[in-house]
Amino acid sequence: MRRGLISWSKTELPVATLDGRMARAQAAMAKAGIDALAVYSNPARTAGVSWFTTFLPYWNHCVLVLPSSGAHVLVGGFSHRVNDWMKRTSHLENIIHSPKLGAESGRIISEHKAGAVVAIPDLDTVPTSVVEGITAAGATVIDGTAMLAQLRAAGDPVSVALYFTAAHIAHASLKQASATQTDGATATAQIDGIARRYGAEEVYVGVCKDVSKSRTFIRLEGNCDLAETFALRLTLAYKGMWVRITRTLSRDAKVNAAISAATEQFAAAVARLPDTSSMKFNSWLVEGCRTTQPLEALAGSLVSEPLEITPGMIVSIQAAIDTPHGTVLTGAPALIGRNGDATALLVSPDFG
Amino acid sequence: MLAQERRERLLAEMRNEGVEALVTFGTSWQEAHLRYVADFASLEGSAIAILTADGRCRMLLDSVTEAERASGETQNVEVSYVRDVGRAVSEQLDKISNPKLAAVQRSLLPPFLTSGDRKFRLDDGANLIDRLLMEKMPSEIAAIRRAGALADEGYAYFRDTAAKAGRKQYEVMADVEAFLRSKGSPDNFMIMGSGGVDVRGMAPPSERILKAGDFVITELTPSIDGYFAQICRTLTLGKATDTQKRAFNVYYEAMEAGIAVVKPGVTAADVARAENDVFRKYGLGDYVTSKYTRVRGHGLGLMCDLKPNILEDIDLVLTEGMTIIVHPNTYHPEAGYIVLGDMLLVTKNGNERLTRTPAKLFEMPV
Repeated sequence: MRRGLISWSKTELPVATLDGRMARAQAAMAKAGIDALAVYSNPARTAGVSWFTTFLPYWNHCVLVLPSSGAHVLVGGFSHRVNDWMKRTSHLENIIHSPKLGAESGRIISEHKAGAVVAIPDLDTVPTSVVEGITAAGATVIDGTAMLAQLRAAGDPVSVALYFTAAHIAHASLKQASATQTDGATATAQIDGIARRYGAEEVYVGVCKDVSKSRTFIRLEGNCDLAETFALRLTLAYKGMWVRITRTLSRDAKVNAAISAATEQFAAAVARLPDTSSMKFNSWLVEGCRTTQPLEALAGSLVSEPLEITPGMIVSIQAAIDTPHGTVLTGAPALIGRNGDATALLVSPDFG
Repeated sequence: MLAQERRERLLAEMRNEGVEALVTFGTSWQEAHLRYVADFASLEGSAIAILTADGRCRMLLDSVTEAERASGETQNVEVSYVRDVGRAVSEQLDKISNPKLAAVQRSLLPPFLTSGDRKFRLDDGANLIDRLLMEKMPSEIAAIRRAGALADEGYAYFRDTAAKAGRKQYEVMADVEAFLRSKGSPDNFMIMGSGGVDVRGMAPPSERILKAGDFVITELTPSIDGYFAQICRTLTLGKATDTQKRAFNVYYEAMEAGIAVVKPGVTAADVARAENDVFRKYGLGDYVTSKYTRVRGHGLGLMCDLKPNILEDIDLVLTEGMTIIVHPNTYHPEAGYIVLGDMLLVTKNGNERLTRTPAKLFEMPV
């Protein structure tokens, strides 16, 4: 669940931006003969509903029903006592509180139009009960993934600005970590607290306690000793925008020199994205948000079916880079270049 | 090892019922079933684990980052990243010859898995596992006791150090989160509120500044080894007014009334009724309805909100080994939202409180 700041700043995310997104969606629906868009969201899959309304389900799940004309309605499993809070923190006027998301969404859609065609983004991941509820009301459900992806593909300045803030919170938080730190729980607590105090909405700290033995980050339960060379990965959300940033720290000067060289190598490869041919690392991963999943795997050494990395997209890249002094784990978010421009890292992966 | 003990217990149930495979869905707000089977708490995307009667456990996740984390955090689980979890799980289930397959929570599964077009059929497996989630083994209770002790520590930190006048809600919560991380707790369900009659519930933290005279309410729920324990308390910044004290006393009486009836054999409804009768006695019956409050308590364990819900229409019978919180949290028309709740272990003859923080209205100096 979310335990960080959830608030809607209309200066950072103006109503006009949200209304514009909905208007574009309605225009696309009209063009495609679609009567309604039903966007599902839960705390792990926030990016669809928050893109339209800023609403973040800190707990429970919901469906945003956007008819091809008229006002949007949110059907959520939240109790009525948080109605005020929901309206305060998001662009929502019409909220129906019900655990029966599918049936209620279906009812709303059928009142708008009997036998409606409903597009559901990421249909393959939406709960059975939601899809069954909508179809039981007489609607025909189709996959709306491509439609939402197309709407979001162009990106927009508001999103870029929010991602930029998220990246800087992440960088400033991770910068406070010290190679002299030997206690995993203390290191995790420090970063977690700083990021939340900067206004992060959610924070996940991953610990790789000994890079010489493993490249795997875990969420710490209990404590661990941090080896001479360890790595920390911070996954962070700020007002619905998620980024990941990774830092290797060492108490060995030679390794530190290798870390600097590796991060330069990393930055050079990132600059060439969306061309991934320069990602000649031990392993690498590019994640970004196309539709409803905040950080979806787009391409990488473990991704057999890559998705398109589009110009203007914000992505988070992670890499494991082999050096003569061991593996370096690094990562940072970047803005994919348009019109032949190089891709730009939002923050430096070098903390030296 | 606790995870293995859980899995053996579940496998015994599966064999009793002749279930060949149990499919469990997990995501960050519905983590209990997956955690029970695969000992993994999903944070991003979703995951499905397949536990077969021979003890083999496979887990498929739609996030590369999460799959890598799972490979480092789990034991005796075959972990894979797949882009389409539903289809990948379907391919695995197609290979199982025994047709008796079950799933939890079936309603949350991807539609591909529940479609009538599949070769297999997934029955609802809730009965198989939900009883195990509620009735804890001694090793699970031991973990919950540790979580309960941390809830006490966490609340003391909130009350004595973090929740000070002049601070913003999210800064207070950031400090508490950092405190809990420093104690090795990776997760915590926590909502709060501050103010007066305008506060109609708890929510994630806002930019609201705590000020003298405020009620500050919180529900704090840290986890240890996957097990959550909860505490609900209310404090005032400065001396409480007579109105605040009078209002709080209703909640104290209601909580104690609810706790007094908790023992094996009574229903969740009995507990809720005991709490709500106190409100009705004081003419506050409207405020125990769904317009103002969600539940009068609930179970806890591998998730911060498990069955049974403590409500007047829930007839589930309490049994030894259940862990529940009794919290008559709701809105008071003269004082705002007030919370008070203690977590209990249902014992052979009654119950035992799992937190030690005094059940009182704390008046904190400004």
